[in-house]
Amino acid sequence: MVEITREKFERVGPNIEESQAIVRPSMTYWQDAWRRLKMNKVAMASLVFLILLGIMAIIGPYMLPYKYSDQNLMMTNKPPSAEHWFGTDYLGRDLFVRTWMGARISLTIGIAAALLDGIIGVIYGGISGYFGGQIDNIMMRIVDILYGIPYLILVILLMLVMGPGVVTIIVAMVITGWVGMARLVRGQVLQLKEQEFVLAAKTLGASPARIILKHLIPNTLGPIIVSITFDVPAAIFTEAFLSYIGLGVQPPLASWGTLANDATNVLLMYPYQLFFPAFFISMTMLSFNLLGDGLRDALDPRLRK
Amino acid sequence: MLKHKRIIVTLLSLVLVLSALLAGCSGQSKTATSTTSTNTQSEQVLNLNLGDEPPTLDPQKATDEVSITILNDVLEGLVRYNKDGKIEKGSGLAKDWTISEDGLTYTFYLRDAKWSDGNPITAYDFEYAWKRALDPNTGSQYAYQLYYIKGAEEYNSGKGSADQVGVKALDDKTLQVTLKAPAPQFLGLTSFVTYMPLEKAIYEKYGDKVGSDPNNMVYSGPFIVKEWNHEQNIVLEKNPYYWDKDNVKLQTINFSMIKDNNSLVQNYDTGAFDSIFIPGDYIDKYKDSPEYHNYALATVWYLQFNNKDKIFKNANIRKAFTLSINRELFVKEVAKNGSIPAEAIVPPGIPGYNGDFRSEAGPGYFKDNDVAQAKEYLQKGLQELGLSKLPNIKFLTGDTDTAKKYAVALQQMWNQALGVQVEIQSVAFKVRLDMMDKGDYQIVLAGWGADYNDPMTFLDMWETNNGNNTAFYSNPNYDKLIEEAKVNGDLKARNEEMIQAEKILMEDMPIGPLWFQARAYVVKPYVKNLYFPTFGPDWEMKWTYIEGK
Amino acid sequence: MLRYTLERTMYMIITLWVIVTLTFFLMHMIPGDPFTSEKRVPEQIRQNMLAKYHLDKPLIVQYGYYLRNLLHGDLGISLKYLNRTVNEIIANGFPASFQIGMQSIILGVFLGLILGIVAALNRNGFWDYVSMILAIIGRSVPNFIIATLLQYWIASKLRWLPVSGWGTFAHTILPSIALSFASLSIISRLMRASMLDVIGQDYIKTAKSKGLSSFEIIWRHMIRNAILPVITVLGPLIAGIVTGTFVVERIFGIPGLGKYFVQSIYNNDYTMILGTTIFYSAILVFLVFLVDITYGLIDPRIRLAKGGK
Repeated sequence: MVEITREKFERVGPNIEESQAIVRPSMTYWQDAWRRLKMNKVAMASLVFLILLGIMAIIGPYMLPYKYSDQNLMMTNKPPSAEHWFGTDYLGRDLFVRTWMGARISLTIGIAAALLDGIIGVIYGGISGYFGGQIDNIMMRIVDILYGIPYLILVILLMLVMGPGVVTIIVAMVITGWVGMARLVRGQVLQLKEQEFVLAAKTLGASPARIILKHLIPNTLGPIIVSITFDVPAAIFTEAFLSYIGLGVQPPLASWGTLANDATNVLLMYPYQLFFPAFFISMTMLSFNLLGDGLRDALDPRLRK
Repeated sequence: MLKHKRIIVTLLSLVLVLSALLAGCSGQSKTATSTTSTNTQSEQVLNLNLGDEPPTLDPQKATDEVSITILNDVLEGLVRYNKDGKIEKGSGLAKDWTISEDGLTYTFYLRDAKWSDGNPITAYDFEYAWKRALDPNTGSQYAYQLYYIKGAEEYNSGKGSADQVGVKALDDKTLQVTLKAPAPQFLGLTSFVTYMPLEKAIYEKYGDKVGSDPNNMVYSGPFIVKEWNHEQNIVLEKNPYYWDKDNVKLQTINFSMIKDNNSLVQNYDTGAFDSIFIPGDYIDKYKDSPEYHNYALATVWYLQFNNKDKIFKNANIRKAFTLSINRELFVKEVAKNGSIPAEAIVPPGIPGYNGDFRSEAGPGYFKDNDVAQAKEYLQKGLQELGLSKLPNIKFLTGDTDTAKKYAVALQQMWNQALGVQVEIQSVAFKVRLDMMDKGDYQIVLAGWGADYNDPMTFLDMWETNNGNNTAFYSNPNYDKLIEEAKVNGDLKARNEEMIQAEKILMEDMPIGPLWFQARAYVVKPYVKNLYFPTFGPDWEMKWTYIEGK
Repeated sequence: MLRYTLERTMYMIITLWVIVTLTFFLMHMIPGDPFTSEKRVPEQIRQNMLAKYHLDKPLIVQYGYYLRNLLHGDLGISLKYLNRTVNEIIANGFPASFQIGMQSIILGVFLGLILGIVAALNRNGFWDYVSMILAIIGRSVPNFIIATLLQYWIASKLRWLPVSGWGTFAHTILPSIALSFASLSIISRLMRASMLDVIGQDYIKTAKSKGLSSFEIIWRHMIRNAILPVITVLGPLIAGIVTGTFVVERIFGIPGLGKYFVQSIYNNDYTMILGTTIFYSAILVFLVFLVDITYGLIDPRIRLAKGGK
């Protein structure tokens, strides 16, 4: 028989430290988003593909002993071989080197245009949404007008007025492209500015610029990032169209758009020439779109577990 | 469930509106285009591609190749070039003519011919049409093609009157023309569209709408415009009132307006077109086929240097850039269409005094691909300019795929031969013209096609104040030779002056000749007597027929 | 409702006026004039032509003329197609562009909706990826490549349909398909997202617990609610398609308006540039308006009377 005595017991009491300890590591919004993105295999594969593409755009043009502009008129329109991995074009230029040179140009145009769209759209939309009232009304009317102009006409007009080139292409696209972003940000800001933390910041005497930049914009970053990922392929696409109507980059430079356009001109004879630029345009589009989808899921606070 | 009703109503009405609109559209275009070919044995139908919509079928306003091609089939002037590209009496509406001793007065005697509405074609129709072209209110762009006529330029510039213009119908069948200076090319010019007659009553009825619709025109040529669906097709039919209708065998010509290279080639391969001009690199596809042909155009391509530019004002630099091009390789591997390397300005085939101007003046003035000589010129030029090295050069060109391809090939040749860095500026058509006019360029890739069958069409443009002299070349000796040749009634001496002029031009080298253009085409074997003139219209179809299809 | 419509109409007119003004002055900044050509004409002739088409007046006077004529619905004479008016050219070319555009929209919307619904119901399943890939093709392959490939395989190799041309329904099939990929991809993605939103809603759970068949739930509760946001993109989509027909028209040789729209800028054909811009802008602005109205009629949560959008 064991005697149960009082001494054998010890009073534990409420352990405040333990009950309040956080078992799982604390995560910021971004860490959580990154964690969820990592679980999305498709999005991660796209990300990896895009990173590889970026690396190839940098080193690809140096992997073969040709320059993108080197011609060999004795070796025109040759199919892929050991010397020319992607074959040669109508001037005997190496298509492997040109494809990666094209990647450089197309990605530059796409990313620059999308980022500029983003920056202008965010500032414009942020101001419009935050101040509201008459300012919002006027600013949105301007947006409506820009939205009403067939963007193609404006882009071509600008290209003709400013003269062709990579910078012109980017500017022409941005002039009409930021409108969508402005609308998106304005909508988000309109919703957010009624929330308590904005009121708190106001009461503490924060300036409008500080509220927009430090409080409102960070909270809308999710949709903005997603929108930018969709804008990149759209810009690459527009560039391809401009190449088709003869307004692309200056020869002998190449973008994927000009390569694809050159190749469609001889498609019936040399289909391989179209394959590579078309494949990379499509894969890039696909990757940006899938990554955008993944980001949207990852950045959506409602899906946070 | 009010909400759902609304959706359904909205959708239904949308569908209704849409289907009504769709029905409306499809009702408008009942005619199937030429892409469906008929298989009947040797039916006299020819299917060709025009490539573009003719901007206007008003003969006094048309300026482009497409309109000129159609107008050449449906209208006829005083003369018509025959199968061999020659002019002979009776080949057009004039059955005969006399030229005065001094070469200034031409008297044309018209044959009995009828408009397609059955009215007779008279000398008054010619007088009326020519004066219409010169009337400043008509706004005819090619009015200057008639400036050879006395008083024409004055009337067109508002300084003279219609009555002072040297063209007069003496009676229904006699037309007298007075020139301001002898011009051996004048007879040939009367086959050009601006010189085509126009029935006065028709113009008075339709005004500025003449030639906008098949019904707003009367025709004097072998064919009439039967149908014109804008941007889609033009159908020509044999003209039953044509004076020489017994020699016209084709019943119908279908013109399509396809611009896309792949469509063009596939339409030829599937038999929808009977002949096409081969676009770009598709020459590789056809060059071993018996259906492949090419012919030389009266067109020269050249590098035009800006003679006012701080670098290219130097003749030695210009020569270095001209000589360092490998023309032989270029025409074989880049142009691929049978073009001929050019070491002179006037293309072969243009008549001189007795025979071909080119053979009278000699084949060329310099050696092709003469890199050693080019390097020497470059050194000399740099010394004269006080430079140690050429700065980057700007090379202006058009924005078509072909223009870019040519420019890139030339750029590389300069880089390899002379080690110079050349930057290409590829700009839209009108932008390029504007830059040329303003002298805002260093080198431009340019071409010039003959306006008429005489060396002068390639030479007088380089006179000091000529509007086409956007090279800003100026040499008083050259100007003097050209001015003398222009008024010289002694054709032998005139020819000698033009040879001298070309020689001076090639010594100064304000422009560097590259190649004489040829054009490659394929034609199905059952198409007979389809002629390809060296300038003007794309085809001559008066004598064409189909056999053994 | 009436007040709202009037207000919007006023805004539309102002928008169009600003667009006309912007385009007018911008296009005159393009180098060259309508009558420059490779063969330069004597200055006197150029002056004659400029005078005939009133291009010799100061820009602001020309602008005044243009606005006055525009109020009468007169878009002027084309400066390239010298004896045709812009009104005629638009009336002539638009039906073909419109037919191709509409057929492609109908095809794209129909297939897009089906793909989107199927994808949402199989989220992350096999069909989701199939529909995703199909949709992505539309978004990731430039339409000049799609059109060229379709023409090569279907028309030239298999000879099922004509290579190019216009006139019969068969001529419209390939261009419509080539053009439909873009709308298909947008609609299917939007429909998928919208369906996923709806699936999570409480009233779906309610419907399920009521024991409705799954077909009924999908049809009556999910699709009808999910389709709302899709309608909002229809306006811009239609306008985008109708204006985007240029490439397809060129490849298939269709007598549409797309060519004039693009070429007029190259030709400095001022009246034509303005005419097509106004025409397309008006369509675009009107469609956005129409969509707003439709949306308001369908969704009772939106109160038009308050002027909200």
